[in-house]
Amino acid sequence: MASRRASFDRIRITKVGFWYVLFALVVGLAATNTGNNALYLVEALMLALLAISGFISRRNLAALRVEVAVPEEVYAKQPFSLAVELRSLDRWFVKRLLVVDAGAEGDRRLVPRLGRRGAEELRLGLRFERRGRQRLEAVRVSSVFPLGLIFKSKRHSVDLDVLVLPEIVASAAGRPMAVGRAGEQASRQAGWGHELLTLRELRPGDDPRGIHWKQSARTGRMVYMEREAERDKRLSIVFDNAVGELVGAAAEARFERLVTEAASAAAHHLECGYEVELVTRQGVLPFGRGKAHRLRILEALALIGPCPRQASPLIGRERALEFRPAAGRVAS
Amino acid sequence: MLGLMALLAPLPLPFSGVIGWLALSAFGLAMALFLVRVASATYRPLRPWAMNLLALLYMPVLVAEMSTWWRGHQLMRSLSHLILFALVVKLFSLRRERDYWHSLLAIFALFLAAMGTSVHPAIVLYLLTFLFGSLLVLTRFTAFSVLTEHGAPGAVRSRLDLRRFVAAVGAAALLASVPMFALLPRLRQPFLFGPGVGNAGAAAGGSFAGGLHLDTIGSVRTGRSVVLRFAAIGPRIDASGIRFKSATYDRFRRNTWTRGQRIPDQLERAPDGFFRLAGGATGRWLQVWQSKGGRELLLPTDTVALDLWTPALLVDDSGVVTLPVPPSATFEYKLGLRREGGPAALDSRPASSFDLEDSAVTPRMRELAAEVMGDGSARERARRLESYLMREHTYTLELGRRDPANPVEEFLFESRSGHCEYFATSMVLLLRSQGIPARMVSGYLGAEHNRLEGYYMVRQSNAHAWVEALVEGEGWRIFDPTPPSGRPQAGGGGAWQLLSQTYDYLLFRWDRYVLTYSLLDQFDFLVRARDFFSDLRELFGGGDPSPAAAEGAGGAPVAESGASPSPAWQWLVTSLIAVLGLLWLWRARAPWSATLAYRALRADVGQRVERQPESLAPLEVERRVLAFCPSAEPEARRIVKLYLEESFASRRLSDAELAELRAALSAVRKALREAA
Repeated sequence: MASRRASFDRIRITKVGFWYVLFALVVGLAATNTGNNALYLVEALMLALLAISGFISRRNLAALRVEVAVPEEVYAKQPFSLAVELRSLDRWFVKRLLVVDAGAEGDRRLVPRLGRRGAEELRLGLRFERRGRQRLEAVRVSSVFPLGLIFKSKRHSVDLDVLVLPEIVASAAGRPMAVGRAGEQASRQAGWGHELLTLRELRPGDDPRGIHWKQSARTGRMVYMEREAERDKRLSIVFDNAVGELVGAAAEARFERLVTEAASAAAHHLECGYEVELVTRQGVLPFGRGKAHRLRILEALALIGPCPRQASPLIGRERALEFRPAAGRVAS
Repeated sequence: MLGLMALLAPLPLPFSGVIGWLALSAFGLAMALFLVRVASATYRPLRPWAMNLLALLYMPVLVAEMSTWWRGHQLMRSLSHLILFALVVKLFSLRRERDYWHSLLAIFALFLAAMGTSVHPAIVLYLLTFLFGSLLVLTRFTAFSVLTEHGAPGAVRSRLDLRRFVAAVGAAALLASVPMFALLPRLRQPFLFGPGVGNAGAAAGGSFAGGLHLDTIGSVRTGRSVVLRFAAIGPRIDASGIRFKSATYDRFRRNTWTRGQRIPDQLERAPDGFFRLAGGATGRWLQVWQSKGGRELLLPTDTVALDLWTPALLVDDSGVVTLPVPPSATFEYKLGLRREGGPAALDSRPASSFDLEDSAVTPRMRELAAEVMGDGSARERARRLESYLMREHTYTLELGRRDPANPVEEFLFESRSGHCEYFATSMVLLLRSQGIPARMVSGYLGAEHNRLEGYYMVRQSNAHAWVEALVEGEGWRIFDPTPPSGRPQAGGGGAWQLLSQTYDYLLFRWDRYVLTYSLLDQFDFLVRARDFFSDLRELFGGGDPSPAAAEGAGGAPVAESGASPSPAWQWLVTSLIAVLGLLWLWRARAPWSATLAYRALRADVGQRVERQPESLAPLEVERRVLAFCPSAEPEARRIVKLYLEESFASRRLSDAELAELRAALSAVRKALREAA
């Protein structure tokens, strides 16, 4: 995403600049009071330097194009790297000592030198505290170059909407129980069931726990024992968000903690081969597994919010019968 | 860097006499020690108690210096010594950041003192050194602090290429400072510390106001400093005979001429705006730049009108014109000479009792005067005496041992040789002995023409003395008994003179346009700017000619060097502005892109077919192009496709694609032309 417009948002005089201006004023007063033209010479040079410093610092931040790229998955309270490409469109001036940042909570990165029409890629560490849609409004490029008299900062507006997924925590509540690994019905798909599906050669990325050591010793090659997945290793996450208006910080924090737990449970179980379903007042995400399904669940949880209290239960009687506590866990 | 700047800062101070060479040498030694210790990494800052002890030790020196200041000692000297001492102590006790700032403050104070008290053009080199040194320090300090803050390795600093940058910024600052210097408001008359470089001050003979010993002019004539410069407004003049009168003297006591108690009259401006010193029409005008010195104006003896910034002037009965207040720098005035020539200003003034005082005349001198002058009119008698002295005596600056009791008598009867002061003194005394009022005049005779800018220089070597005598029926007349061989001559020419004139030209420019640049110059600059634009307007669209051109015919005099710019010059400036404007437009144009190509395509279709509103979707524009000109299909589709990718997908086009866009647009235009 490229910056659309840029504007100066902060111009302030530095400590060195303050002394410089003070000296210039003193020399100016002395020159005016005495009529000494040698002092006028000094004053003229000081003012000329100040003007040129202002011009150069302006040019130093001008004709810059900022492009940012956000990672696919951004989690609340977890740092991520914002890829920033800083490109100079200037054909005449070399940019020096540019400092790039994306907000108060993020990293600041230095670009010591950016050649004419050159580009520099850098990664800014950033962190969002809240889940949901967050706005990355601008990337700021600032500099005190050339003489350190004036600090100028230019705001490159990017206006980027970032969907921040809920925080994933490693709490015990979110981890799959040992019993959860026991399935009841072979699914004829690879998984972590009890039935042997096939024996094959070990591939990179395979779990070392699946190595069939006897066969490996016998054949002289690493043999991997693939088991069948069990279909009913399922987790249904029922998140009843009909809690009415959240009053007070404590209620909000509790709601957020539940979202975090639900997201963590979904993420951990999906990682362990479970099929996971998400049921909320907004709708149902049916059972599924894989990266895309994980993302769908996390996105749904990222956007979930409280809705008005309702008398009817979230899960209907017939639907509730489908859930057997032994087959999975119900989080609510 | 700090040590080097500290070493450099006080260098000009001994040249302007603010501090002595001894103090500078001591400071230089301390700085050398500091630099050696820093370079060899053996620097250890002084402990606070040591600093306090040093300060206590310096206190008596400071008290002694300040006490002598009350007796006429220079305050600047005491302050400069104090700053030098404080700087040395600070540099030897650098601990915290603020110690560095304090040192910089002291260096800056020394720099200001050096600049404020220096008048030689070489100070520009000092200023440049300081400018580039300060730039280097500031940029390196900035880079260092930013790199350190971000933990960047030191090697990154070499990538910044700061030296070339500093050179470019320094040059730009110099260029920008010229208009800044010209436009900064001047509220007071320019002030010079001392008489100015290459100029003679009052003590060196600028005015001889304090009195004239018999050997004063002889010693002054050995100097080469310039007392005044003048330019003829109009054609060149013969300056060999021009006499600038500085002062008149009527009392001769103990071999020294002094001035009697003459009460000057205040001279007001005439209705025409000039100070009128005598009647008669003005012929040639001179523009004069007189060095800072006494209050006396150096005026040619045939001056009748004067144009000067002061509201009033003082004139005594001997015709000497003085300023109400002493000038603080070289000052400038214009004067009109009598059209008929010959002395003008004192014709009708009566003699005073001082002009007949003959207490220094001995009987032997009286006898000689009577013998030489004989009978006849006062004019004839004076001429005889003038011829006698010129004929019977020789000119020399080598006086040898003279009788201190009566050197004039020795000159007349024994040695028969001396310089102009002896000749003039003898003639005044001998005339008075015969009842003819006379007085001694000091001033300058002749001038050297500087070919580089066309002005004339009156140097100390042009100092001269002559006589004014009251001739019945004619008024005061000038007599010069010094033999022609002894009168000041113009330089002989050659390479040395050319070099000397070049140097003076530089000094004059420096003096005129830097040291003595004033509010009047700023007004002058504005008037010239107004005239310039007025001439430009006339050049391009007719209109009234500039006031300067209108005045040139018979109004106020216009200086030779102050002519308004010629049309060629105006054309040159106009062309330069136009070229710069075009260059700016070329620079400011948007870079070539698919958006530009698409807009050009839409505009072309608008011209050939019908106006395409901006709100039209790109694909609709494409459809219309193809409907009108099917042969341009591939190119038009390509332009629109790239435009969509660039504008809506933020894709950066490669150089090859941009070139392809140019070709495609050209092909579409050609096809559209053919279809139309």
